[in-house]
Amino acid sequence: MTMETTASLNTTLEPVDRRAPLVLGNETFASVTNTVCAPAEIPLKRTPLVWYVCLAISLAMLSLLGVSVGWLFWEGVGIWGNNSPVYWAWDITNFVFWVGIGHAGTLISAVLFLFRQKWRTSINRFAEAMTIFAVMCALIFPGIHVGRVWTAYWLMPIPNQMSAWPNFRSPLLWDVFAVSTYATVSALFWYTGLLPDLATLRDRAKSTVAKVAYGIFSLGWRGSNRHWQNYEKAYQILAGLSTPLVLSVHTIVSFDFATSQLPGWHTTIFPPYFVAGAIFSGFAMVINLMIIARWIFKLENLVTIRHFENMAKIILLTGSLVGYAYGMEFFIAWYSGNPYETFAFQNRAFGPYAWAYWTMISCNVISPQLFWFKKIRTNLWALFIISVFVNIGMWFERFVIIVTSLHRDFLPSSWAYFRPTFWDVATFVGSWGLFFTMFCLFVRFLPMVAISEVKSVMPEADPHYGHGKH
Amino acid sequence: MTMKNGQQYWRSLESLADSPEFKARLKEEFPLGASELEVKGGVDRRNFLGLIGASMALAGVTTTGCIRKPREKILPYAVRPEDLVEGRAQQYASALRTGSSVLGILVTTHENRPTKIEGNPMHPFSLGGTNTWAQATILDLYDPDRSQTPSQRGAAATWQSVEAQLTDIASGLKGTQGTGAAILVDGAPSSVARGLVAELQRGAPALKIYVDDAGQRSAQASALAAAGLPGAEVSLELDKADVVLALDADFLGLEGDVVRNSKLFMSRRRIVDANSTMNRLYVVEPNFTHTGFVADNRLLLRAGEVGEFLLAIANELGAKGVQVPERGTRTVSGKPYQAWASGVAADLAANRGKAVVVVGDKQPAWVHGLALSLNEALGATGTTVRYVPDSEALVPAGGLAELAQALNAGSVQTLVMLGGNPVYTAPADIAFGDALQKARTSVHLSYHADETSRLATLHVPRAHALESWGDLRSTDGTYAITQPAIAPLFESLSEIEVLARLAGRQPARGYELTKNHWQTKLARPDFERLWARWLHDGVVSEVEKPNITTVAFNFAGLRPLFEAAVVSPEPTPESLEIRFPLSAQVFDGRYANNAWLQELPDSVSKLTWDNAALLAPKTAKALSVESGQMLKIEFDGRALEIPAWITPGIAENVVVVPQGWGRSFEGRVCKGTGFNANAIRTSAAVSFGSGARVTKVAGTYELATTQDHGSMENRPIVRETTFADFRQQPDFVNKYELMAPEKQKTFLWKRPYEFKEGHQWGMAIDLNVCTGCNACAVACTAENNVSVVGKERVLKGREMHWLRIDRYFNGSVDDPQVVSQPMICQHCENAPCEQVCPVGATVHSPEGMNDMAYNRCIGTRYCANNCPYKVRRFNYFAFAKENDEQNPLYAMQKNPNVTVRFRGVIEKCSYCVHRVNEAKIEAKKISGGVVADGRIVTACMQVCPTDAIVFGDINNPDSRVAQWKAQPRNYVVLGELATQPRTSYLAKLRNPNPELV
Repeated sequence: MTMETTASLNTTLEPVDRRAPLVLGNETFASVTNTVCAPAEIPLKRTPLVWYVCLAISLAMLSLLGVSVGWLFWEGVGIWGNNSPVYWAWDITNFVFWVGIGHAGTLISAVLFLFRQKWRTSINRFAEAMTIFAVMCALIFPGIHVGRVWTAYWLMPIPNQMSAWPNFRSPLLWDVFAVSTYATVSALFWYTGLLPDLATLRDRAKSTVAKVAYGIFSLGWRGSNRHWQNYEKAYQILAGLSTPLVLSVHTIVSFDFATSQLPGWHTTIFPPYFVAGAIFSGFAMVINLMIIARWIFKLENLVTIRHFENMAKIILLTGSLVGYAYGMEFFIAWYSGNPYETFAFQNRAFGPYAWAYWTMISCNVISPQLFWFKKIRTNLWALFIISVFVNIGMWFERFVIIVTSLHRDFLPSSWAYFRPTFWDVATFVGSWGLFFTMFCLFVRFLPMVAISEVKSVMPEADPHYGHGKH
Repeated sequence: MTMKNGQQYWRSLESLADSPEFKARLKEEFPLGASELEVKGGVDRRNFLGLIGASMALAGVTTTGCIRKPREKILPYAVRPEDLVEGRAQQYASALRTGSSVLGILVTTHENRPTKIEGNPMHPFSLGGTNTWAQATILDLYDPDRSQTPSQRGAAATWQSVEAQLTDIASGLKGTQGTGAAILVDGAPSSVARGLVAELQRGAPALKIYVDDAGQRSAQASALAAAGLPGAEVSLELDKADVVLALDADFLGLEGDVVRNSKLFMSRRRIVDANSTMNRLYVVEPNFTHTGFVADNRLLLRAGEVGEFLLAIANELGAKGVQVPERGTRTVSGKPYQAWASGVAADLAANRGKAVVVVGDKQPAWVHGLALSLNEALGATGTTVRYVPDSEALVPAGGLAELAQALNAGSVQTLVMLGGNPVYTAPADIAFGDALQKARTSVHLSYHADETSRLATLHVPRAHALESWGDLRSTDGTYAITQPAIAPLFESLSEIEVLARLAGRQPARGYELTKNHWQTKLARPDFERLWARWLHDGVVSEVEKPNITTVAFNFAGLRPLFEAAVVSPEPTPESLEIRFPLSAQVFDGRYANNAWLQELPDSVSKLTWDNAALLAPKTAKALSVESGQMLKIEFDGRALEIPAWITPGIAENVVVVPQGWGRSFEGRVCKGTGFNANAIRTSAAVSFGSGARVTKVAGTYELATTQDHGSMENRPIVRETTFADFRQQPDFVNKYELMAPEKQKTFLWKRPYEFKEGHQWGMAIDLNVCTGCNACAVACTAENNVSVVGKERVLKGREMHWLRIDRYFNGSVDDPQVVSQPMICQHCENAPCEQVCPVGATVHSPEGMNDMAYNRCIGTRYCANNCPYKVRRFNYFAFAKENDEQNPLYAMQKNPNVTVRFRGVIEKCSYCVHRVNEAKIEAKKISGGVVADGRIVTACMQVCPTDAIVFGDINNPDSRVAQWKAQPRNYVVLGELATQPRTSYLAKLRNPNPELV
């Protein structure tokens, strides 16, 4: 990993025409295409060993998921540590964690696109891929955590001879709609954006298999003016559709908790707090993955330190929002005068799960504050480590919300302590296996940077390029 | 086949069962059951009957897991027995001995398969109620580890050889006049048995009878004998008592006629309004019992000091001018409880004729003697306590200790043990196992091939109480005929059938023996008619009950007892007082292989599947011991390693080690559960002793508890005040409300039902009369096919009880009070669980019940998370299927009216909706669909020995439940959540003596 401190790169506050370029190193249109297409164009026989190693590790983890889920289906939910009263534990923690991770992608692609934040172009493809893979991981958990998996499809409003419909009052059902909509729109958005680049790969492909495969998936893209016009419209519309979803998905996920009556869940602050938390963890994950990919695939000119710095600022902002939410929860717990609520929060900070709570606070509230220092937010090592902390913290946030609220609720007679089993851990590790496997395949076979979009922010794309100021 | 059964309708199968072709075909048809139940040493008819029953049961039961349609054959009735309608349950009256009491019972059978036991309302000692043991007995019937074949010195034997050996013994008895022969009986035998024993003794006068006193009633018996009333029984008339002083006496829990005691005692605690009256209960005890739960004033005192306390009371009563007939020469002074004793004595003296002193079975004879004397002084004799002589009482030659002596001396060479398990239950110093092996011939009739059976020369399988004929006598002389509800599942003999063989009677079948005995005994011309009525009613109404109000005691006879009294030294952390109570779950170990009882949380410690050395927090601190730490208890030269468990409410420097666990009998349920207190118990310290040394040893042990947290955290869950406060402020429950009650009824949106029309079901639970005895929890398990999960899963917090008893301590940790609260689904009108279920598997009925549609449930568990009462249970595994696999006979117990839940679904209390619907169907036919109040009785309500639970239509202002709910003490738990529960509680009251602080 190369160390860079290119302070002069960040010229966000300068007038637009004086800002530093988003792509560095005298890249040309051709060199950008070459750089991005390179990993996908390495012949199979010459695939770097490091990729095989990564894929092998990922596949091993993925097979752990297979074994865990198989054993779960065979034996029942009892293989996990869930008990009474902690009926949800790692299963739903993992679900919310992965959905949260999946937020950065759409935010970067859609929201920043609509706000014409051009720096997004080098990282949006990557972030969107991450979103889709994270949502895939997330979707596993609600599916497998039910007691009778073979009936999980009853969650869908499928017309049937018994006229048995789902209960539309249940937040869990809203979840099904919210997350599946999000997954669908995110996938469409990602695929639409991929079309021009898939066509580029098709055009450059040498092997027949690649030609046919890219040919099919590029849907006959020829780069004609009409294609571009339709494409831009579609992209804009999808961006418009995705933007409210960024807010709605985690809002609805938070309703699972907010609309119930459990102290520690039943709070109105959850929707904004969950959305902020999701963006927070999503950006941290993008930073982690991007730093590695940038280093391996030599994308330093396309993904500059300025990108990282911008993302660090968003982490700082959302981290502070999350910290504020934590504080506000405590304030409301006291201010409401509700003894159950007050107890739930005292118990969170000082009860048997205090260790989890303080892990969360250290990772989520304290560590991102280091990003106030420019030296830290432009140091890749620091960025990487703090982002890992943020993700640990955000996992613990969901654990704290779910498990510590459940383990001690209204009647002290049913209080208990939750301990994870081997299978809890295995299922979670396995979901990382799925995530990394998908990522390995993505970086190897698809353009991980949006070639056409990056070109649009290069000086060469400016019609006045080379003609000085006007 | 040497055994022939009395019931004719099995005969047709019997002849078939004998043919090898039929056996082969059966085996082919029921491969699973046949191989599992096959008995080594000859397959017999009853196994097949059992199998047929089991298969029928399985066919009626929804099978679990992925196999959705079990391939099972159903055998229809070729000729339907008279009065039997398939699908309709039948009830048979019988009686059952539980602990040291006799309960009249009604056995519910489905297609001749007993599934449930209820109390017989016509029997004066159950009055419709039962207890945990009676409820769990139904599972014992289907214990797959019950002995299925006789054995001789551990090797399988044939019934021919059993018959031959019994005949040998019979002829030996005749030849020797009974010299060197003895019979050991387990508790008080039936009238039939006593008749047979008398007959035996006439032929063989030297034959000795020993009594195995498992219930530890001998101290009281010796006191009564010393006072000139040998063999008399003590009957407490607690409905007549205003003041009760219980000294280490658990008369509401384990000792004596607990069901009747509970009914009568609680009849004086039904507080309606400020004008009601309430009795007062003083309890002096070293550790919490159910009686201690209820105590108005409780004095924490070690067992060895209880007698001294009673002496102090006697002193005080004497000082107050009450003439105490005999109290020995010792006096007590300078004790810390002197003021307490003075206050109690004043209250007792002020309530002469309406007061009673009850001494527990665990106390020595002199304390019982003193209580006899004090009760006489207080005018209790004949009013609040009655002494009922028993003319047929056996005159035993002694107990286990004397029998062991005789065996060791060689004066008993032939021993017949009718039930009991003395090798396990005898105190260690008796070394009964060694003594037993000295006998030339020893026969053990026993339900399990247990510790004693292994050492006896011949083990004979005993028929279950629900499979045998006989009779049982209650304390006040009421007799009940015990009639079988099913033919023995496995070939076996009953107590009287063995005695009849020894007496050389023919035919030696239970039915003839019982009927002939009673025919002879009463000699009534209309016997056949009476017999039919007794069997129908469950009570022998024609026997005159001794009605003795005045007793001529020979109080001088008590003097030697007082002189022999031993004052136990004050314990220290180095030399603790040790106490061996009988277990509220497994009793003396006889219920150890009963999965329901093993999983039943102890009312105080909330432990399941194990016993432990219970210590008060103070004692544990002095010994620097924590719960789960392995301890070595050295007592009287013997040692026991057992984990510690810290429980408030135990006297300081006392260690409590419940009996009945740690059996070496390897039943599939009891294997590896608990630690054997009998290994250190001695005959000098049957119930308690001093000088126990407790040291820590390496290692910890995981104990499975169902409730870790004992404090209510100042939440208004159980509301309680004193009776005096209640009279001042009858609506005191409202001051606990976190939200005004009228505000609790506001809703954001329109509700699907207004709950104004038709029947609206509801329940009320009176905490003031609840003793926390757990009977409802077992009854619910039995009625609703609730699965047992085992210790590992209890440790993980996955027990399935629909009804749990929450126990909360309050007050100081060194001398707390305790309250118990039955907690079940509250059937909220505004149910949080219904809102969140994504598939609508839990929905509301128009009659206000929160219903579960098990086959719609997909198991998201969201409902359980949102249930503020945490009464929903999740099938984390296929528990029901596992239960049936591990215990193949358990399926026969299942209630066919209740779905057996499969893996992955939530389950919970249904308000016994099947009973509600049964009543509604009935009502449709006879009363235009209106169900009369009292027609629906839920399982928990039915069993409750204190009638603390009432269920009915809250829309009918005349119903009992509506009237209860209209009482000022009525409140709902967590009402501030606006859940509008249909189950409400009546607040607890205590009536402490204001002079005792």
